[in-house]
Amino acid sequence: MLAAMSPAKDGALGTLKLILQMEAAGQGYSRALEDYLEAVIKQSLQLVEKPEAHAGEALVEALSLALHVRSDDGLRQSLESILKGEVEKAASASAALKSLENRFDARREPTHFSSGVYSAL
Amino acid sequence: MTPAVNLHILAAEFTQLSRSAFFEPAFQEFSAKTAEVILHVLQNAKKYPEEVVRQFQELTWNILQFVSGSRSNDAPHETQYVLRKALKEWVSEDALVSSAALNGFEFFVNLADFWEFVDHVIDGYDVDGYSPLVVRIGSPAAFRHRPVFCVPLFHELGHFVDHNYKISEASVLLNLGPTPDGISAEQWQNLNVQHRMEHFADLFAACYCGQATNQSLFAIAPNHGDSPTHPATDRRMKVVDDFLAGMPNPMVDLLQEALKARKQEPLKVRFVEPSVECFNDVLTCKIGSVEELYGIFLSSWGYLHTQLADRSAPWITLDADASTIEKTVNDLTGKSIRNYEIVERWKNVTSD
Repeated sequence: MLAAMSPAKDGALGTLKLILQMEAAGQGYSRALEDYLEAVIKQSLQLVEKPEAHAGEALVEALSLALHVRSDDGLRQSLESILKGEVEKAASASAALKSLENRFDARREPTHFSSGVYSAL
Repeated sequence: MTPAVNLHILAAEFTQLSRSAFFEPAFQEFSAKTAEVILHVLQNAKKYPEEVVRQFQELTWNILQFVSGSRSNDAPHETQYVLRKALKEWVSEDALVSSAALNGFEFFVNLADFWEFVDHVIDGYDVDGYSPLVVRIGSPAAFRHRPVFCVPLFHELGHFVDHNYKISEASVLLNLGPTPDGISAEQWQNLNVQHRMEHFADLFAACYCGQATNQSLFAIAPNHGDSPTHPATDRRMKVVDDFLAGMPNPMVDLLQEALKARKQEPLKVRFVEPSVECFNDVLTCKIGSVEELYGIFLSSWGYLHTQLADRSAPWITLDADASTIEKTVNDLTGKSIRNYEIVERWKNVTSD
């Protein structure tokens, strides 16, 4: 409905989450997926630092991820350690995945915010 | 039921669909290629991690709804024709448009980027440049021949464009005010995304349908207040009013800035209102341009509501009720759009 429906978000971070899941489970995956993971993480970190400089060319997944990163220091640290290829990569992937799956979802938000919050929008 | 069993079932479904008649023939190729990639995954199941096969299977089930829905003859054809035109102004990739006729009163535009997933994840299969977006437009089945009432689909198309380029999310990355009391930073950020998505979709619709966007919103949700997912109706209407009047508005500026940052065209009025005075004589409107094709939604909306209020058209007899009036106006609007489409097809044939 005009006031209630938005497009399905199946493509937003689905592939990224899938790769993180495989990384966390210690499963191997292709070089192409490794490159994709690296590109999305790198771009999202750049977007958080300088959105105006990087928004033009960024992958849509990186834009979505950047918003998550900006409001979650733990997620940022996990992604940075994945990028560095540190030994605890699987643990970092697992932590990143957990952060992404526990995010705010307005459709499931049980309460209304105060009028002060809405008037600040 | 294992993913492999499901994939066998899906392969059979898509093979069958590839031999079926479609309103849009590109769906035959889509079905054949989908059957092909399913068979590839089945034959190489050991090569792919279990989670990949599982997710591939889930996405394939999802896409099945899109494809099978496009076989039905209950879509609002005229509105879809105009939506396709609008979509092409924003998305250069091939986009297949399918439809869903709904029993309830709802509208949606869904996206399936199935082939992007195949391209990224099913790396043993060469997509060979084949990567169409699939868009599914859902609208009430009862509105199949009522294009005037399908104005909300332009709003939904706006969500699709936003989703495709992440305009609202980019706008929040670029500009976010300080977090007020009573909400966490994360909630504040996401609340802004949600509300900007709605404003963007409204403005997008206003580019094509002008004030009919606000009028249809008001008809559906006249007194809705602010919620976590949507701004209050009066706030939404104000943003559209300012945009159409060329008045400064901070929300419009935020979204225009994000469009620019994402290297997209700015929001601008893209329609011209054709005169529908000819409806008084129960004659269709001769639409002269694509701008008028968009504009007929506003012209017809205005004409319909004028006639419902003052019944001044000569064809409205004493015994004509609201249903007769809306049916006639919707019918004339649909036929006007269809005439434009036929002329366009004819021109395309003769110019080839």
